[in-house]
Amino acid sequence: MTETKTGTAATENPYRPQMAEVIEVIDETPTIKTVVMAPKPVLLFRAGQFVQLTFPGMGEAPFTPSSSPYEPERLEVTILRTGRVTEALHKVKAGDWLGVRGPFGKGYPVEKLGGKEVLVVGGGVGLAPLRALILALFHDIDQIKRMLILYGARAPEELLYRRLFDDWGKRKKVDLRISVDRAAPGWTGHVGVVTTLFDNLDVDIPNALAFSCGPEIMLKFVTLGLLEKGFKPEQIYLSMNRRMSCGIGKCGRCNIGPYYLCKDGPDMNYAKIMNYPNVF
Amino acid sequence: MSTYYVSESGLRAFLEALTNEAEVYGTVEREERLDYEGLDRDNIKLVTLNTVRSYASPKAVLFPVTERVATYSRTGSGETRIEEPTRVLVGMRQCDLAAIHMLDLVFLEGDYVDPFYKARRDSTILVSTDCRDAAESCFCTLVGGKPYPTAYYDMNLSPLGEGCIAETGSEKGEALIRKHADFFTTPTEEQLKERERNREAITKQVVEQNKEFEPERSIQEVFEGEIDEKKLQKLAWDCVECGACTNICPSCHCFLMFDRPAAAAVESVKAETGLPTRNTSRLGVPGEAPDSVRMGKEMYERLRMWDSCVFGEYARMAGVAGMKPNPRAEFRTRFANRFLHKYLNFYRMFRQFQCSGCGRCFDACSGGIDPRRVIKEMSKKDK
Repeated sequence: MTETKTGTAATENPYRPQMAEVIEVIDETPTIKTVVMAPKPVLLFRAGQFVQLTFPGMGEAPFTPSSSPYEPERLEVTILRTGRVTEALHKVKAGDWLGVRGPFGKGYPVEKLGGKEVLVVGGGVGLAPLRALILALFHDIDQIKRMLILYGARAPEELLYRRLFDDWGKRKKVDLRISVDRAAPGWTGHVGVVTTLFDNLDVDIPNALAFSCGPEIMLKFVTLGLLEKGFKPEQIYLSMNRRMSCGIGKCGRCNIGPYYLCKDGPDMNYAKIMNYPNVF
Repeated sequence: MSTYYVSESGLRAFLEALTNEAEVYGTVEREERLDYEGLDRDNIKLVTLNTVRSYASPKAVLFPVTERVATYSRTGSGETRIEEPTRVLVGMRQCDLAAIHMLDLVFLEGDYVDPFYKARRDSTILVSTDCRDAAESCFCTLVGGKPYPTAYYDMNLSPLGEGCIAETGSEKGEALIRKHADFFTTPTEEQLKERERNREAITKQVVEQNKEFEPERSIQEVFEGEIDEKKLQKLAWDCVECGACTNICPSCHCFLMFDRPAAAAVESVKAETGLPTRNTSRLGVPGEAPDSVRMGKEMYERLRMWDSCVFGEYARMAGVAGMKPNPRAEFRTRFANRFLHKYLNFYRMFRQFQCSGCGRCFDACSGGIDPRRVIKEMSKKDK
């Protein structure tokens, strides 16, 4: 700002999206698609940080990239069709342009995972943000002791990333267990809500950290289940669902107590938020 | 910093000189109500300082009700240019200054600076004044404030029987006095004593009128720990969810962002910037220079407008009911969130309340909800 009568400055604008070309759209389930983009310049992010995706002229919605932070030139966002903006985002094709802002938030505390058993609990489209963590840990698998992935969806056809499960399950130090709420003809796997997979939880709990993402009701029962198993609140990280808009802690709407999910989350350590109202 | 004396006629001449070099807003009394107006030669004589605070705060000058925060096209987004004229706000009270400090904490602190607020804040000079009278709703002393400026002003004017003591609080204020040195002289000891007497008197008045509202525990303690939901429900009963409290609040900053094609935008930019300064606060001042908006269906713009945490849709996400898209679906939880944010959450973020005790929310409330009453009731230990 100069000391003249008119203050003029070309400036960094955190509200302005950068444009990214869509290079591929993958149909995942009847209601979920993965949009692959190539932002230029490349948008570097930590696993668990989120971006605001703009459908031009329509508006924004927040998504945690579901791709590896080690491959930022191919930014994947997995989208459940659930509202006005996501309805529009489901219509994009390769060659279209979307706006991206970010990354925002803290991301998963991967630096705390050295030597740990990592328990990942996903529900429905909630596996999408967790996939960034899973892929980051595949990359750094030597540094953790083990990763157990528990994933549940309502029905077999709603399981996200089925195309990848064979590969995930074969990896060393990785266990993948799947459940569906309702079986369908041909389903031979586990049936029941995802927390029923806790029954045989072969995890060294004092040396474990848990990460969960899914609908609010699932997060609640995952938390209660883990606490019952002996996890401490400090060992549980939850991807909380709140309406994040500005992404930078100014617009006010995504708070849990004194925390803004957009800047302090969106994954929150349960110990930090457990005593504030309306957590679940 | 330094103190000066300015006579009544000197002050009018000073204000008139300011209008030649800046966009000046001052508190003008019309129909027994004090409001901010853009000042010009005609209404300077109506500028009133020696009474109660203005009905509305000048928040909209720094943080407009609606403003453009970005333009973009499918194939790119250029740089953001922000041009703001020098503005002077005359007649701010300590509650207004404290509230601007709260907005500063939100918009200027942390990893991200809001460039639109910053540009306006940097080019705005705050000229405050001592309160010489208090509204019935005023309660600055209950939240640790004083009814006269103690911080955050560039220049403060303390009205005396005749003229004012002018005190500078920043280099911006010093520069203003240096530039207009002719209007200012050295104050006498008696004039400085008169200011102290006035300040003691008004402080006593505000403390006295709030005696009955003094909480039984410290305000932080009231909002720490378990909140009595039933009591809160009862206190929230008269609320009609109109959002007047958050709109009139000088420190509420929540906003909603939305996008639209820029073709529609060009029309409304013309309408917004076509307003005369007189009798308007130029609420529609766009963030970016209008000429940066190119006409055409491929251009889009992003706007933000004031929002209110008491609205049901405020925190609602996309999704069906089973997914709990609204974390505060019941009204009492939104009512509680507003109070918790003002007196506890903000305190945890910035070590101070997000309330300067101006009492405007009570004045504006159609349900007659007095924040002092809410705090007092919540402070009572259950019997």
